[in-house]
Amino acid sequence: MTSPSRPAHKRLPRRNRRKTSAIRSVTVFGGVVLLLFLVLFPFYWMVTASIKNFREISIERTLVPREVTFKNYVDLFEQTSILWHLFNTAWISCFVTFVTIILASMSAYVLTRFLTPTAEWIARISLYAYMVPSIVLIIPFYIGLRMAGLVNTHAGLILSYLSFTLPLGIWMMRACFQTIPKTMEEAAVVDGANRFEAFFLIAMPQALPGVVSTAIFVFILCWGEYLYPVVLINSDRLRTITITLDALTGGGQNIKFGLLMAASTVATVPILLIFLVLQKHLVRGFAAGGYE
Amino acid sequence: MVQVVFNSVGKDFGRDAVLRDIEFEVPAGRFVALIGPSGCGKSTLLRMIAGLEHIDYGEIYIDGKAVNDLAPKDRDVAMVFQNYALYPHMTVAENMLFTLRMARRTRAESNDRMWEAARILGLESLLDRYPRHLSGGQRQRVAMGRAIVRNPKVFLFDEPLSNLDAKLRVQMRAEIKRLHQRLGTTMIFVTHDQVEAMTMAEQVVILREGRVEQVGTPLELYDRPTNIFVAGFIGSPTMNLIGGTFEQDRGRLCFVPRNGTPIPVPPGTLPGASKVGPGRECFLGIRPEHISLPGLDPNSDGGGSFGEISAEVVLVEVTGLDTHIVASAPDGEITILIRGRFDTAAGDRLSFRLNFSAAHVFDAETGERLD
Repeated sequence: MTSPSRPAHKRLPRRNRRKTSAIRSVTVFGGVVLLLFLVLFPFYWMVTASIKNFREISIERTLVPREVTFKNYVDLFEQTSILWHLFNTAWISCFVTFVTIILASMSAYVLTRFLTPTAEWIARISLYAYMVPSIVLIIPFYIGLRMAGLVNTHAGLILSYLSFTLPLGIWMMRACFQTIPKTMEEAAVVDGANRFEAFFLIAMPQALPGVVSTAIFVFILCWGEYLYPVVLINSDRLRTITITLDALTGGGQNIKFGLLMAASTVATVPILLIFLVLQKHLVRGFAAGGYE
Repeated sequence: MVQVVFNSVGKDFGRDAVLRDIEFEVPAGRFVALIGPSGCGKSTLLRMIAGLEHIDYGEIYIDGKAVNDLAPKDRDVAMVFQNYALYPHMTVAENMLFTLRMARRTRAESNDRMWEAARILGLESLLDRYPRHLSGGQRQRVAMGRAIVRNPKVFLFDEPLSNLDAKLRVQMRAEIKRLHQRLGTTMIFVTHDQVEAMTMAEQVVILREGRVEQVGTPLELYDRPTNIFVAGFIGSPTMNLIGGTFEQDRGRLCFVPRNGTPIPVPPGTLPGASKVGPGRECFLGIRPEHISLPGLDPNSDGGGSFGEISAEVVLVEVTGLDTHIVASAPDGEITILIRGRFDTAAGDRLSFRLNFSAAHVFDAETGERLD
């Protein structure tokens, strides 16, 4: 098929067209550079500040560290329980991600394969549930968890995380299952599989790119969650990394920039590693699911 | 071998009835084609046999056992889907072994069966490939391999050739037919292509709007269609249907086409004509190959079963083997099929001979065959 071309009398002269195209390329390139700068500069500053001494950070404010020091990291590991808090964050994030993937995939599967007339409504309600700001829910949640004896426990934190990861997971996995043809599961059922086998052996492997992108989103959400841990957790041993970072700001009075940047770098590394390892699947998930 | 019986089978989608009172038998070991236009319910019926759709009314029996309440895996049927439905994350071998894995067969037995199926279908060299690396024809063969590997009671094919190009379709048609001759298993094949149904099936079931119109061998359907729908659906080019009435003219029975001059009906032909009262509207059905040109058809000269009409050529189509002439008749256009080549052009006025002994009469009101 040929694309409809502009009528001859409306076409620009060849030289003008070349000029327009060059301007467009320069504009796009400039935009990309600006965007990259906006995204990467804070990272650069965070990492370089973590290896500068106090003088370079607060007084000289050098862009490139003149003297590299790991004192901030040494102090961080000696003075705070950051490793323990990292471990708390990691296991809670992993657990919530795992539970979300299992429950959200099964729910999304049911919403795309059965319950067709009501599925759209249920899916929308789950999205609306995700859109409700945490700050609105925090007090009812606190009251409910206190009645259940789950305040200041990881179980309470996990339940509160699931309240926003599950709706997001269902919405994303639903978009993923909608792209997978139903006939393959039907073929599996005729081939002798039961519904669970058709789901786990046929549908889930095909939904893998969607599972990976949903898992990464959920994991990042849990990793960076601040409001629920700050309200629900009050013992140092149960804290997550976001509370550690908050503590290092010293309530805005006595900010230890070196420690704070070292802690931020430590908190970012796991997410970056996960992203790097799984980015192939993530891109495939975006392409397949068409997630908004 | 296994017989499949449909007893007053029906199905509703919401308030719409998609299948009504389906009653026919698929004799054991037969190759049966379900055919009909889009939306007639043929695929739904096949899915009901497989257990993928609920049977709302009536019963389906496989090998004498009602399967209404049986899960698909307990019906012992294998199905080949229109889009092949191969598992993309499994190799060809894994696709074929999946059903045996579900049936908890031993590894040795599964491998033996898989190799046997691969040998029958010529898939030995493709076993470690993924479906995305296969051509359309190869995927089709893998889908069939997945079906035959479990040695089911009944094979179901849901328009398996519709995604293939014309050449490959002819090749696969022959392959499926050979497979049936080799295995002898009951096969039910859904298609909307009447050529596929006529060339492959031993028995054809024609469906329209959820009802069975006719069941019979391909030639029964071709030679004695029970109504106008079947007459028009089976055969390519389609049967000519000329509207008109039967009248007595000077003691002779004549067919009077709408807006046309009477054509005398030779005695002893068109038994259905006697059932049509004078002035009652009907359709004369005549296949394109039963209209000839005087002098061209050696059988047409001496016989007394021909009527003659004059018509102007509108279009000539040459296939190489045959010549199709479309001519303007009194009531619309008629198609004439001449075996071999014939030199004519649009605008020529020709005299055509209608072989009344091979023609049919249909009631204009009910569409039913009269004889």
